[in-house]
Amino acid sequence: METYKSYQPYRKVFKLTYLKTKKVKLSELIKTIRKALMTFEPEKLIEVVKKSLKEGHNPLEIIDAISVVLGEIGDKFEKGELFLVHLVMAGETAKKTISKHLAPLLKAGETKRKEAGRVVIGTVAGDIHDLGKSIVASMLFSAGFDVIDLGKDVPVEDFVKAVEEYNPDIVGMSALLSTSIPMQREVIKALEEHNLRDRVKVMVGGAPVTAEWAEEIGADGYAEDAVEAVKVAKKLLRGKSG
Amino acid sequence: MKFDPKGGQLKFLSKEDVEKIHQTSLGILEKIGMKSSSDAIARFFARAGANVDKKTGLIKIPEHLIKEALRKAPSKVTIYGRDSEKAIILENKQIFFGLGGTPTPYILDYKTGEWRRPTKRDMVNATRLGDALSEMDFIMTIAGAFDVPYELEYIHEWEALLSNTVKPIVYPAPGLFSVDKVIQMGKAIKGEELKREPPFGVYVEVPTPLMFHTANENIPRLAENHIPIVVGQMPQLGATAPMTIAGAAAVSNAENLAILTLAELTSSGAPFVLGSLCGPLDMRTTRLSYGAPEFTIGNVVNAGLAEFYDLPTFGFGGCSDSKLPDAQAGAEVMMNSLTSAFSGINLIHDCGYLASGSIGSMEMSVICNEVAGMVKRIIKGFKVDEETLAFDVINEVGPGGHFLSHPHTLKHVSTLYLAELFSKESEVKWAKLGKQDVRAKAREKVAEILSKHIVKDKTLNEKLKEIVKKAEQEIKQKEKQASALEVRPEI
Repeated sequence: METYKSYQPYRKVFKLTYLKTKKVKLSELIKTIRKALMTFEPEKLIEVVKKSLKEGHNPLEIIDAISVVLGEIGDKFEKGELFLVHLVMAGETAKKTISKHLAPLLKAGETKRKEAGRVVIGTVAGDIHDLGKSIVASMLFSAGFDVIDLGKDVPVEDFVKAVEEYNPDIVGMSALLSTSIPMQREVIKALEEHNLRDRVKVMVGGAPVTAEWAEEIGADGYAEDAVEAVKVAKKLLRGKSG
Repeated sequence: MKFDPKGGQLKFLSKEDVEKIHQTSLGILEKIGMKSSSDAIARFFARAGANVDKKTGLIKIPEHLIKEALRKAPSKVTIYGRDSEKAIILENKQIFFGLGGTPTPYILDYKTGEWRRPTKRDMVNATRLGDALSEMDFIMTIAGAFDVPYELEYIHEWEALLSNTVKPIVYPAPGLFSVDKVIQMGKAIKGEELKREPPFGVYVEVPTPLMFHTANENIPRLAENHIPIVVGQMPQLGATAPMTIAGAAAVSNAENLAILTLAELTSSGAPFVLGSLCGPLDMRTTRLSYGAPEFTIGNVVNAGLAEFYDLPTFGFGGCSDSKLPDAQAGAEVMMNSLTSAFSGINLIHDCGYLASGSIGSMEMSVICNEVAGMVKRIIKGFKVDEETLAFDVINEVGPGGHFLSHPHTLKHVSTLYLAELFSKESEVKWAKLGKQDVRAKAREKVAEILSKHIVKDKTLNEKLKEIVKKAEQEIKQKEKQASALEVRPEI
């Protein structure tokens, strides 16, 4: 019952296309990182990262290589060649490896990686559903964003505090319950009251959220799913002039 | 009283398999525990003798408490409806179909063919439709009241339900505020008989995996009032539960047992309906797949567990991932309806759900009504005895004769299922009638029902409106005292 035979071809397709993708000139480092990350085994990546450091690669180079591979994994997910589980595994593995084994080695002043932007994300107060939010966080991270995940059941004040503290480009709010989506409006109101609204773009999502709702409460972006969320986030920041 | 056909012919699990899932669930509750964000629920379990960590809200429930709860739970639960003639008796794998489920964020407007946010008006119409559909035995919804203040959403929805159907209702009433209003509504209908003849069951769900929320503080209240607690746990394979069906079933079942324990230790004999479902998150689209074969298997597992515990069951059928009432929807609803029925699920809900529960459809509900009719007919089977073997009749007609004019044919002709909606006429006749597909016919039927079917009880409707009005005032007052700390009543 648990063999999922029908899923196997996907894995095969993915392996073949991945091996055949030689359009871009790839450095040996990216190749090594890709090989490790695409096993979806956390230990493999850590092993390879440690080895690369020993061989003299600098941590920033390695972080960039990881970002490139995460981007590829995101593309493959979008094409249906990889599953959500691969995406989340790769994202979490990369995040842990970077924060534990690479970020501490960076010299002061060096940015962690070339970031697409910074996002503060959370599930609004009164709602403890965090799966959707975590998927979006993971995808944003894979797409090169610096993601600060505030977790679930996040009080309005905590969103405000996070904007003050982290100075993000985007605030993302998730809600699954039709009774908790009004909190998204409350957060936007609170940002306005603290004169922070102009500093950030606001994105909302979750099953009961619609584009109309996003417009009604004055959010800047709405995405129907996690893949769309990354696109919207990128678009919002393109529109954000210096 | 309505007696429906019995399912249970389909079984996947051996007694040993069920026992293994049960033991794993006990282990989960005793060693891993449920995490509660409700202090009241944590305190309740602590008093009952569970191992509770006050700081984290982690509740570890020992086996003896669960066994005690299982002993106290009744094996038969009746949901009466406003009209007790429509009562459904949940036991012995009797199957009943239900319109819709919990509120859907969208409704497929049968007039325009576009989906949009449902309003209270849609909620009323969906309920009237369900009341009129012959094979819908209990009513949930394929809409929602999204045009009322969110704090009052469920209360308005309950008013729409109770004012517009006499059939049994199953619907959520999360939190103490809404459950108290719903109990008041129940009293407005049944008076002091509420405990003995509950007109509805309340749908209950704890956040998965393994959590209690303040919204679940309604469970003890329901137990005290002997309102049937209808559980619909739905862990997602690989996301909120293990990827494997057995592991997800163990999690889902553990959550059910935790709810059962809370209910039965509050009030012995509290009516409880086991809903231990699990379904796959589609790993490509990140959506829970209502039309997946694995989701359907969840029903078979639930039925196996319920047989083991001797408890009634809540499952699903009549739902699809398709966005339209199309061929995919037809195939998926027949797959899950038939499987649920063959497993002997008592309450088969979700009829008319499209797009993984995101879109409710009136046309699809009418199509599901036909599907439910066919499924019930199959489950009924047929009798084999002297009368039905009809040796004498065959002898009388003899070789080369025909049976059309024999009284035996007339006598038994009513055992045939007659399709109400599906096309059975000749292609020539069908062409003459306008070459309609089933969706077009369903649309006509929806319009016809909504133009004439009305459930009226002016006095009751006034009483229900009054309860909603009071709730509105309470919310306004609460807002005024917003600065004051909210004090949660002890349960």
